Amino acid sequence: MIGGMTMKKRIKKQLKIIYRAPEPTNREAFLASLEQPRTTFVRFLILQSKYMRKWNFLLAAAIFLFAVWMFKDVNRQNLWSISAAVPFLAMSAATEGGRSLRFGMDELEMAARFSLKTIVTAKIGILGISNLLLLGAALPLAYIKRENVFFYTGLYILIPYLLSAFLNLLVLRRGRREDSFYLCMGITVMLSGIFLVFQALEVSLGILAEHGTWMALAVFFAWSAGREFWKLREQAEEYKWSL
Amino acid sequence: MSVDLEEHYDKLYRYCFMRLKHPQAAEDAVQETFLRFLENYSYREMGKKLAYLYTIARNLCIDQYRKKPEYPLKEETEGREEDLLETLALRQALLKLNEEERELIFLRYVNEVAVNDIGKILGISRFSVRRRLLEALKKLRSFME
Repeated sequence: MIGGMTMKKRIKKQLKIIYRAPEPTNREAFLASLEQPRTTFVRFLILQSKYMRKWNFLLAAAIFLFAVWMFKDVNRQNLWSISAAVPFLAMSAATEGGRSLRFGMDELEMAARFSLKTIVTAKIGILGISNLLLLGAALPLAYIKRENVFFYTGLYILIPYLLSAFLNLLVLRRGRREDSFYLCMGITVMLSGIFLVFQALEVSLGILAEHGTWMALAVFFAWSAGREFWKLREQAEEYKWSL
Repeated sequence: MSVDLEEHYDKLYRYCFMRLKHPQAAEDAVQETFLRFLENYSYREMGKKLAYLYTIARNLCIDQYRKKPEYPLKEETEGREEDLLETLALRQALLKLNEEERELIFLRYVNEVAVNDIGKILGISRFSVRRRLLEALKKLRSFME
């Protein structure tokens, strides 16, 4: 110890003196030219949701009310009807997020304050999460009716939603911009049709619930959808480099 | 004005001044650094991409040093004589270190850059950063005794 201060501390103190620089002359003016008006995350989300087409929210409300109505008489056949409707929710979230890319607005948005990547994330996130919350809000109605139907309901609703989200996001990312909406619509209608056929044939997914396979399927589709979403975001950033 | 932006500006300016030894050149370099950084990232990402920010500044300083523009010399400011006397031994010891060691010491103890970020800036592992810092400090102590 030297003079109550360790050698290392003394060196550090003196280093700051040695490397002290004169005051910069143009700092304030330069930083003021960079500074952008602040906004909170919530305000940003509210702003983005105002730009989203209203039919997305109307569709979510309609499917929610349909699910509530179906839960009045909960049985496996009714649940298939809900499964057939749910893919349209996932499609609306995915196509809304890809709208900037489809209509060639990406150039304008890239020059704007928020990056294209941020906007795509916000749009898909807002709709994706709000749809899941709506579906989740409807689930307790099934639980109240019959105790073990809760798990079946989760199976019938979550898996179609996640599968549809995965396929729609994959199309958005890999398909041609102009055709992406029609491809998404086609896939969604096809999935919906498959679930209606299951309903007609009285197919039961109960065996999947008993063996826990539905959990594995739900996790797999959730992971796949998440992965596609992530890649779509990264692709939105790459567009900037190709301009 | 954002406190983060000011802090990054001051630290980078100090870094550029350390390398270029001229306030005007240092300010030009740091402003160019900010502009180049903001071409690819938002200013909110400066904290997370600190190593990239320093790398841009470092490369600009190397280019600037090669070009050697004609900046008018500045006089020393007042009150530096006491500092000079107090730090004389350390200044002389620093001159005996090589450039990389001086840069390491500066980044870690003056600008307080994290070891991981220093590794990314200099292109070495964080273990090498720690090892070389310890060696540099040891040398400084021995030169000052």
